[in-house]
Amino acid sequence: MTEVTFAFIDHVKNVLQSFNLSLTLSKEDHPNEARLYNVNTPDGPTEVFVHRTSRSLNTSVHEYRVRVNSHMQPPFPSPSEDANDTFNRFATLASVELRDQTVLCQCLIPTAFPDTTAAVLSTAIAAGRHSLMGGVLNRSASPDSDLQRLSKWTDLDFEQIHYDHAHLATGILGHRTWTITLSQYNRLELTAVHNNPYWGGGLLCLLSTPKHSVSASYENFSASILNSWSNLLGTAPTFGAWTTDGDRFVFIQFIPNFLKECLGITDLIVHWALTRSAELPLLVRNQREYLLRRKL
Amino acid sequence: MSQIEDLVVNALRKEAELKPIDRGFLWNRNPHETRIQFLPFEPPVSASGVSFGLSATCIIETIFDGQFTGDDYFLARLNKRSCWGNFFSENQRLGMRATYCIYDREPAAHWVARTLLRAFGEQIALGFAIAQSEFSPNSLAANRANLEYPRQWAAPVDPAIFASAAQTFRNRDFASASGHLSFTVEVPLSPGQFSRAVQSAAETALLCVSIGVPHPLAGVGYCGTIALPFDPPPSAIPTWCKVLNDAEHHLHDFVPRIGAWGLRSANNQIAYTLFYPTNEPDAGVPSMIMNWLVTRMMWVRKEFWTSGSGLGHDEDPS
Repeated sequence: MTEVTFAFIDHVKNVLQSFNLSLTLSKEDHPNEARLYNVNTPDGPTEVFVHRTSRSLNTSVHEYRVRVNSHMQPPFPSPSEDANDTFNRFATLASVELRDQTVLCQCLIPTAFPDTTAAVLSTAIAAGRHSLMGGVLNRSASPDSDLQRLSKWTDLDFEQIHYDHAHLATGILGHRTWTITLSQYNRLELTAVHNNPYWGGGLLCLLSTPKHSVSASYENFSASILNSWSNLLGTAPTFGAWTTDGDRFVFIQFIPNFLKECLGITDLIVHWALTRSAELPLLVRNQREYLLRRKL
Repeated sequence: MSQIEDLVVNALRKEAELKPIDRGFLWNRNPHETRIQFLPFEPPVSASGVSFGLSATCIIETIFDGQFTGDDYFLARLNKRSCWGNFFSENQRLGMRATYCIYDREPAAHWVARTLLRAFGEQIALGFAIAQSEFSPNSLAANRANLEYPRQWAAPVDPAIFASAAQTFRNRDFASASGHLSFTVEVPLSPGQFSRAVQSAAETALLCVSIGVPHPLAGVGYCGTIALPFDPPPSAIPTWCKVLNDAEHHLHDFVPRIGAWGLRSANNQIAYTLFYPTNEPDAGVPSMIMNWLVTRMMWVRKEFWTSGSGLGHDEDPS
């Protein structure tokens, strides 16, 4: 593994300490440049798998991916794709896969703002599962019990985002919100919210696209398929989840207040959305090829 | 002496704080220093019939106090929000530079003179605020409050000016679209490429002029941007910003250099930004700024762009 990878893992360790958690090496596979770590979060064990990507194995590029896999505690029944969709509406930094009873996220180890990515990843390790399940339970129990903490993202922050990304397309600046259409169909919306069921205040990031722009109606692709492929080989980190809102697929992500201090966090969020937006056709193509291979 | 120089010199002559220098003035606002100077230009004998008579280049340059230890990367980050010129570093000092070609037969002499006077008067305070806010993001709100640039247009801007401007560029065979607050033009960078709207991967530069993008510190105004269809490797972008910013100032007959090439997004995009702070709508300004951007992009295409690979993809820009 490269120095950059070790530095990234060290930074994850340091941030996890602020959650009173530790990253413990459990297995190492030298030939395949892979390491498995365990983290004992209060709501159950979480596995962190660091490995070199298969596409970089025989190249001079050393690309590494970190995968986070948390088993749901306790297990939930009714593992249908519809249920996935319902659960993933409460996603903050990871997605749920009820069939496997897991909460997942992944990211490539980046060269730009690695410390910020490591901080978001650490938060996903520490609370990705808990925030998602906590959101579901909290909402089911009583809608009045929503947390109310003012978002740290102010109008001034949105004005800066608006200015710094003016070259991409024509954005729309609103009261503590900013929207931009990244390509013909994909719309990114950042909004300061104060009532996330788990975190309270933070930044809600929604990337939405009409279903028809991604796949034909007869293909009947679900948001779970997008989650599976983006977790498997996505270039954009999957800190969040694809879900469905009417006739649109929506990637939902929530950045809690305390991550606002991380250098370049909003630049990264927009960059991730751009990457995610660009790789959507690839995810769908993979599913089509997979179905074709299964038929043959 | 051109009419513009005459207007500028007469306006500044009355200011006791300024020290006269050769064809210009020095403003020492301890510990920072700004100069405005008209550098003579001897035009070669031109065979072409139409000329506005380039007579001088006006340089407006501020040197900020204190040792600057930032590298090209930091300068490139600073330049994404620069205004009235671009940031540079020389002899471990941070500076800001704008250059403006002066023509004897400039049809908008008063407008140009006012722009030069504003750049001279505002470069220190605004440049310092931009730099300090980049060093220390928490100082942004205080700097913004201190500068007190208008944050509302003094009068409504007629959206029809954007539709009309876009039509003008379509008449010149550019792909162009307009909205209520902005209009865009695409400059083809490879033969056969026309518009990203038709072909998402089209190799065109996206140019935009907007009145709906306020500067975080300089308030409302006209914001012009250039986005390239693909960017150089992230590690090369800071050097490209420096190369392009420096090269622009060395051109003898070129559009105003009051903006900058800077580093944007997750340090992986290069973009040109020109912000002209004003709250007074002027129907002619959006088209004028777009003309500047188009000329700039044509120059980049001619001098630096390689079809299919961009800004010397595998080359060291320096």
